[in-house]
Amino acid sequence: MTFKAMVGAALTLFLLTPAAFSQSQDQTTRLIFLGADAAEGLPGPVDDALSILALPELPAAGQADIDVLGALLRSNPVSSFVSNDDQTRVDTGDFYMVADLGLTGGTEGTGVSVGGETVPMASLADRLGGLIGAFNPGARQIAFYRISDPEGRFPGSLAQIRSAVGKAGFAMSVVMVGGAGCDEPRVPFHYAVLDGVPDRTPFGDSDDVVAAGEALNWLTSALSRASTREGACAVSYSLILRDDENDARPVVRVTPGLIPEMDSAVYRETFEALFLMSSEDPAPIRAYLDSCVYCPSEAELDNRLRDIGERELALKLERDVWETIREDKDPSRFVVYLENCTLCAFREEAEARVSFFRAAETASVEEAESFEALASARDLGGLRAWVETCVVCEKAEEVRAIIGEIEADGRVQEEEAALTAAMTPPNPQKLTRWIETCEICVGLGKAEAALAEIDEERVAAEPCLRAAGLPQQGGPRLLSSIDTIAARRICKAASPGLEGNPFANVALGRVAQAEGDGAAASRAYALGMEAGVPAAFGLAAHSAYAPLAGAADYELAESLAQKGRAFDDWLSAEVLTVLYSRELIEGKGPEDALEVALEQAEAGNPVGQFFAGYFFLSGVGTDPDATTAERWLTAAVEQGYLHANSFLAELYETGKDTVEPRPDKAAELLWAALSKGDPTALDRLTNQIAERSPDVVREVQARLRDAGAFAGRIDGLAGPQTVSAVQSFVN
Amino acid sequence: MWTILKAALLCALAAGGPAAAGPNIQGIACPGEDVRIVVLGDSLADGLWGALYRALGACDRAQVVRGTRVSDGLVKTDAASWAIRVNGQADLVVVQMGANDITNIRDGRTRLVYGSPAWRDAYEARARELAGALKEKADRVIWMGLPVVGQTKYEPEYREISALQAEAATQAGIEFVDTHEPTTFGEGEFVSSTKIDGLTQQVRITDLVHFTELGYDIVAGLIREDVESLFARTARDATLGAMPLQ
Repeated sequence: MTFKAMVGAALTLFLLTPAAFSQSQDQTTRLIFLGADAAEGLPGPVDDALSILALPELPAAGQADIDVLGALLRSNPVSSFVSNDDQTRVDTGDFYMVADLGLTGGTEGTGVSVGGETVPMASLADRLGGLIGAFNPGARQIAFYRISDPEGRFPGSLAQIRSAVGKAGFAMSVVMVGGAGCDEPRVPFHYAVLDGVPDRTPFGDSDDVVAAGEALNWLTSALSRASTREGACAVSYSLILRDDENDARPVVRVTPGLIPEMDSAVYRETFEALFLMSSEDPAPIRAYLDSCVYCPSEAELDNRLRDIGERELALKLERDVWETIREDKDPSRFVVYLENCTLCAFREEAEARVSFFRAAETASVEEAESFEALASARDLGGLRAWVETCVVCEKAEEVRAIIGEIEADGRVQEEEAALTAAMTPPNPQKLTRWIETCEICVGLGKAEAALAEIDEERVAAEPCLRAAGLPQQGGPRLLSSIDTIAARRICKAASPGLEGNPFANVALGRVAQAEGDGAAASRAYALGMEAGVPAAFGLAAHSAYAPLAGAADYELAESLAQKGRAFDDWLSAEVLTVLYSRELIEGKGPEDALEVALEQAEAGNPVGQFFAGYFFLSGVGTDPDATTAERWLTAAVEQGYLHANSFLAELYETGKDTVEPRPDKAAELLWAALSKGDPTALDRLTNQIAERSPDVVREVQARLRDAGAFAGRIDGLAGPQTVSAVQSFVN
Repeated sequence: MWTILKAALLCALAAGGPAAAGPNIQGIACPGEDVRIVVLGDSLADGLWGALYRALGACDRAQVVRGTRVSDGLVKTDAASWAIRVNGQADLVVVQMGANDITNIRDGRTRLVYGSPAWRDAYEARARELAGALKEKADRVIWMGLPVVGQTKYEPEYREISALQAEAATQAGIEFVDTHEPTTFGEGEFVSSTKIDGLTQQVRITDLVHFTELGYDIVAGLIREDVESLFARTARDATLGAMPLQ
């Protein structure tokens, strides 16, 4: 529906309602536009509760009633009246007017133009009064006069204008004086007031009545804003004239939903203003205040803008102060700042500086002492840490110079590379070697810490290692002697502390090997070797030499055993001895085996002592030497290595070279080993008993008899009865 | 008096006579572990087998296998056929043949005339093939050359055959034992008897090729050290190989 159509409909309703028109009891709110466009600035349709009438010009004196009635009749095709009522004045409810006037100059003084007519200023009051008189006087609420005054005649005509306005008899008259006019639609203050905007929160008390005071306040703000914005349509200045000073006087009885589009716009602006109330950014607030139409919370947002501005100013001042003191070498001004700042934007930095200066007092001495120690030790790692963590840093440049000097040394780079290799993963042998051989020793502390950690791991794994028969130092602890269930239980009891512990991994690998899982054992040994666990090399070498399944790989066994031997792993050396003595490695032979065996024998390895004794006894890698053989075999026997008993017994059985025959000693050795289930002694006294001397057999028979295993004659004859007794004794 | 005189005579003979005949295979100690020795070859090798058998036949853990055949050799029997006679794995194979090989080689429909370059090539190839095949069947192989013989007309041929065998053995990587000089018993030439321990004893029989038992014992003595080494090694292997380290 167009505006004209809407107005037409309103007039139709107004005129076609005979009771409303003729019985002077009509309470319809009316708004008349005089020489003004009723649609200008209207945001949307107007509810039928508001009746709008437009007069293009000011009626002639005495003709107002008729002109108004004529206008009403002309604007409607059909009108209805009570035929015997001769009253022609329009009876109405609250009545409002919007008049567009222009002040012009001429030979007869200032004139007033209304629509297409210009009337002398002196006749304005009568003509206007005539028009207003066409409506019942008690309902005249607010008149809006929009005066175009391009020549600035308003002040000179104020008395006449005021007189004319006063004669009109409105409770409130709003006179807005502007320039020559504009093409843009002006702010429809009249619609806003009639829609009840001054009564709404946050403008008014929302009691659905716009009181004179609410209207005055809202219009004052709105008109001031209109003047400030200085647009082409700006109001230069305004006057608000009131019939009395009663602020509570109702001037608009609000009809809810009168102009829905306006309601929505006010609603949106209200929320936008609420959102902006918490904004720290002044730009959107300014943008809102520059563009809002109804401008709810304008005052609060102005205050907010002012607060923000004040904070910015305060921040700028604090920043200036901070820039002045930030390089201070003394905490006093920082303390003053902290005690007196308002925003305290630099509180954290100031507090940090104060803390720094207080810490520096004690750190200075410590740093100097630390510097002296590190510099004299040329501890690159320590010096680097010093630079990174110093507080006062008085010696920083000096330290950097020393660091550069040390870093330029090629040995440092080599040592750092070697240390990195020793640390990935941490390898105790490599770390130990690095510590022993380093010259500059950057990272010494790190290496020592890594070694200590490895030792902690080893200590933590000790119960697990013992359960798995590791390390084998001190003689072979056979896989068959491992109680695998107990070993796993012990290792598990130490978990999760042993998770990832390389020593424990190797131990569990050996348990797996004892269980027959060669693949699991190999994986564990490989990880152990990577971590530098010495036992892992010997175990892996032995697995290659005598695998649980598949063919032996002697070359691999030797390679691994060589590495293990370098780490003083006895099993590695034992594997090498066997490989070389059996001539399983090309280019290696009995002489090499003897060399390894003697090295081990001297180191106290009972297996090595046995090898050495056996080699000298049999002439492997050397000429036979019974005396030396006796020495090493005796050493092995005394360490409890039972396998050696039979070989020393062999030497004593018949004697050789300088070693006198001692059959009693031979028998004693065999018996001692036999008593502990040694398979070699058992073989010598059963399968090979025919090769035993009668004296030895006699001694063994006597011991068997004492043990209750033999009831035959002590005759030194190696017969089946003796063999049976030996087997019975062992079983 | 005779005793004194005899002793003095023996001493004089020992001091002023030819060099000692070298080690005798007899008296060698029995092996501590099981050992299998195979002897391949002709009648000379058969005598060698006999010496080894007499020395080790009584040992529980020694097996001396007779892989010999009289009047045989590399010309008559090819390498593969000889290798088959090892009949399994051996710790030691001793080969001696060639005395019957002074003749043409028939290779299918081809006849290689004895003494020709082609013959030499073929003979050496057969010897090399046999050496290689035996290496696969034994931990150790010893090829013994032909001895000095009393029939001087064969001497050059035998020495050439021994040279071809030595070359083949060297190429195959096995040990070759030259018996020619040792079988002169220090006399520098063929002798039927020689002084051993001061007493003159017959070492060759009347055909001037083969040996007496004593002669064969002495020839076998040329490899006594090898046999003892083999025994020591097998004992070592048994002792150390079976030794539990883990």
